[in-house]
Amino acid sequence: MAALSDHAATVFEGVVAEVRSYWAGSPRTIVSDVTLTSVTYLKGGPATAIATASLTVPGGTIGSWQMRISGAPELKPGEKWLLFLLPSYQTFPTVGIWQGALRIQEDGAGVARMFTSSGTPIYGDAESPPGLVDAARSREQFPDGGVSARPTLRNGAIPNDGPPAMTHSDFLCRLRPVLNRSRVHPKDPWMARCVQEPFLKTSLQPASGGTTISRLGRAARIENREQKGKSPAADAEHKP
Amino acid sequence: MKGFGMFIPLRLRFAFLAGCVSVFVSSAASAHSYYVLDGQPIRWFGNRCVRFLSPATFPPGSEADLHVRSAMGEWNRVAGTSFVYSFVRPDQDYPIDHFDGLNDTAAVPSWQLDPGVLGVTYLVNYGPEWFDTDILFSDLPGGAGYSFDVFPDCEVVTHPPTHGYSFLLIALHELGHGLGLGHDPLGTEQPGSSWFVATMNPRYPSGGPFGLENIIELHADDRNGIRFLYPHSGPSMPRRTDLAAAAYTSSSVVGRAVPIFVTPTEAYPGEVILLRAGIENLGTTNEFYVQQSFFLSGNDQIEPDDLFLGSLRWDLAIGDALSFDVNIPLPADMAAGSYFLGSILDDLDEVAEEFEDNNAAACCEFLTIKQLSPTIQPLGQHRATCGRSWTGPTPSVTLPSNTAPLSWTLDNPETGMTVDRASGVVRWPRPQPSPFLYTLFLRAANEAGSDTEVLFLGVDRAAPVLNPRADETIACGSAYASAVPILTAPDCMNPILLWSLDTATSGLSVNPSTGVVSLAEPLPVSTAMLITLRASNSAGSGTTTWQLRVSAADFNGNGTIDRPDLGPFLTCLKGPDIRQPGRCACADLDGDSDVDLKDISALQRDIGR
Repeated sequence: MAALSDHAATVFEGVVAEVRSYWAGSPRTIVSDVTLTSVTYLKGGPATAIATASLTVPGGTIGSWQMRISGAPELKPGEKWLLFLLPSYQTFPTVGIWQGALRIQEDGAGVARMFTSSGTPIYGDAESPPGLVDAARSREQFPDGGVSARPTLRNGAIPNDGPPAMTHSDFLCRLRPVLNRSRVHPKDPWMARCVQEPFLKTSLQPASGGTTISRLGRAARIENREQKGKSPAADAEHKP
Repeated sequence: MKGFGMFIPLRLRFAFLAGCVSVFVSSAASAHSYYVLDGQPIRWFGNRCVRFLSPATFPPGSEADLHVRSAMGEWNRVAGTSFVYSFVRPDQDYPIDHFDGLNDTAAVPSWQLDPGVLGVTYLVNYGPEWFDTDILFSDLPGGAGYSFDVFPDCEVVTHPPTHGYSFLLIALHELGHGLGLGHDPLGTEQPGSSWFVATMNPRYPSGGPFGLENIIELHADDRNGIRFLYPHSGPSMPRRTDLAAAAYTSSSVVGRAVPIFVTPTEAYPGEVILLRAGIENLGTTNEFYVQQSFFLSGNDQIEPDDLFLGSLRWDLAIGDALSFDVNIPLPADMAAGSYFLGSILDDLDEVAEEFEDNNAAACCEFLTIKQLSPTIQPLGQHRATCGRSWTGPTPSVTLPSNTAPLSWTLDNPETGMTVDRASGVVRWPRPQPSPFLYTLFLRAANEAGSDTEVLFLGVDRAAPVLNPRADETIACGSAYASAVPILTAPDCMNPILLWSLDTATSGLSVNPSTGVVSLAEPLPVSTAMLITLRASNSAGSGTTTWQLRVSAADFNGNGTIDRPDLGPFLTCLKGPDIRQPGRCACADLDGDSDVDLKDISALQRDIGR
């Protein structure tokens, strides 16, 4: 959270009101203007508060053409988002593409809760983190030390016994002090600015110290796979 | 839009357990995702995608070139799919255009990508078909650069700022996007749901490598995804059998795989540890009742002859991938130290696989078995014999392997008592008598602490043992009293309750209190007297034996028969039947009850000796 806050020049939440895609740029690309309403700024923002914000994001749909960026959130009308915006961007306006875009969704009881851009619940530190199975519960499952395993379904949901996502209000309580301590960026312009420059093709730079670590069995494995004619490099077909 | 793939029908899976391990399957939900248009997956026409490799980024023969082609090859190698990546090498670089239909594959300066972006794929479709998927890599991701290690170990993978980001992992991930796969987990999972560890995980290291040798290959979920998008065409699915132990598993951060791990990382023998591990079926065959065994090893190479902890049996259908927690009770006793915890899938080699080198995996971090302070088993009560060298019992502790090495000491040794520091055996060359039991505190210590146990030792009185006596010769007629007998260990043998003679010789007596043997009027006899003196106490008795000779004609008692003895002898020579002085019996050398000429001859003979 601290890293997101430091990179972000503007943090706000709002409801997507409209998405309008159009051709732009040279070379060609599709971008979308996203209009958000009910905007509340948590960091940065205009000098005088306004309740709407407009954001230009790469990607969108025009007729049969669609353009996406891998991992990027797709903002749709009616959705409420909390966005960490870069001061300027090349790829996508939110910090870390999908990491700086958080969904706010109400549960069945009308409580606003926090989710990642892909809908994964966000938890507080005091609650059980997702994906971890605590040992005590496992032991309850096998009180005699374990003679059988819990059956589960292939590609099906296991029983939903995880905690609910963090509430929106709790999240803001934790976020605000972090934002207050975060790095301040120049306020003009206050909205993420797209820096559209032609990409420069270049070489990949090796790490200074990390490329020569050898492992036991490494040579043996290479030899083994080469003997089987399964060297992966040989499998990609060269089309001159 | 993205959608779920549902390639594999719902299927019950069971784990069969042996030994003491138990398991909790935590990751079996969710699946690969892919991009859709109106609910239908977007695919490459003809199941082929031609990538244009930037000459600046991928000079032919360079490490970068080898790795990107290897990554494409990994996708091509998935059995049961008809998709093919191929590549073109343009003569020179040209501007990147997301709508030119050329699938650019290139690195760009990191400043041209946003902070934290390692690589990005621009995906353009026209209707339900892909038109252009440009993959751009940051040239210096995270300011650290790339690792081109083909088999990066967990140190490399988990510390990219130090070792660089694995280009092979990143390239595999972006090429997954390039053929139409989205991130997994997708995110429509319910709170608390689990997720697959896969190349298409959104966070670096995106599923990570497999096995002990850190093999970077596609995970089961990725394979399911490409098989769904581009299913095998033909009469039958090619049969490939390959089971693998994942080196990475799910973590508390959804979508971020971490090296398989154990909690806690420090434990005592007998405690239960929890291993988070993963196994996958990378092949196209269903495998049933596959054994997975868990081991502790002194090095990071898990072998079947390492310390066996337990085993599981799994049914692994096509495309199965499991992350699970295994409760593993540690052996009740085992040496303290650092171990690698790991497992071998199909350790009995019951399944013939295409690749057997990805079946074992180990945690990156040590499992430290802590040392317990020793607990000495009860030593009981022992008895020694006074004055006789005593060796105590070999003490034992409850957990000898874990508590070793031990240093043994005695808190209160008696004089002369020693203890072997290595074995704890107490020795006492000369036990001393005591009316009470000795209470000895034997202490065993190691780095974790120490323990004492009481050793009770009683010292018994010893049966009398007498010093040997030299044979004696005494003068005839002179009263005899032996020297006071000497016990070999008076402290251990006194008091002597009774001195007695085993032999009943006429005139011979013993003082029952002192053991002094006396003879009032020794007379010559033809053979030496054999005297056996016996001393008796509460523990038993002992004897000493010596010979006593009475010299017949040594009248003056100087120890030899010589000329001065001749005068007294002649006084006794009065003839037959004449009363003779009492001591003249000593002159009857031939024992015929008369001192006569025959005795003179004997005397002369003795003098001559």
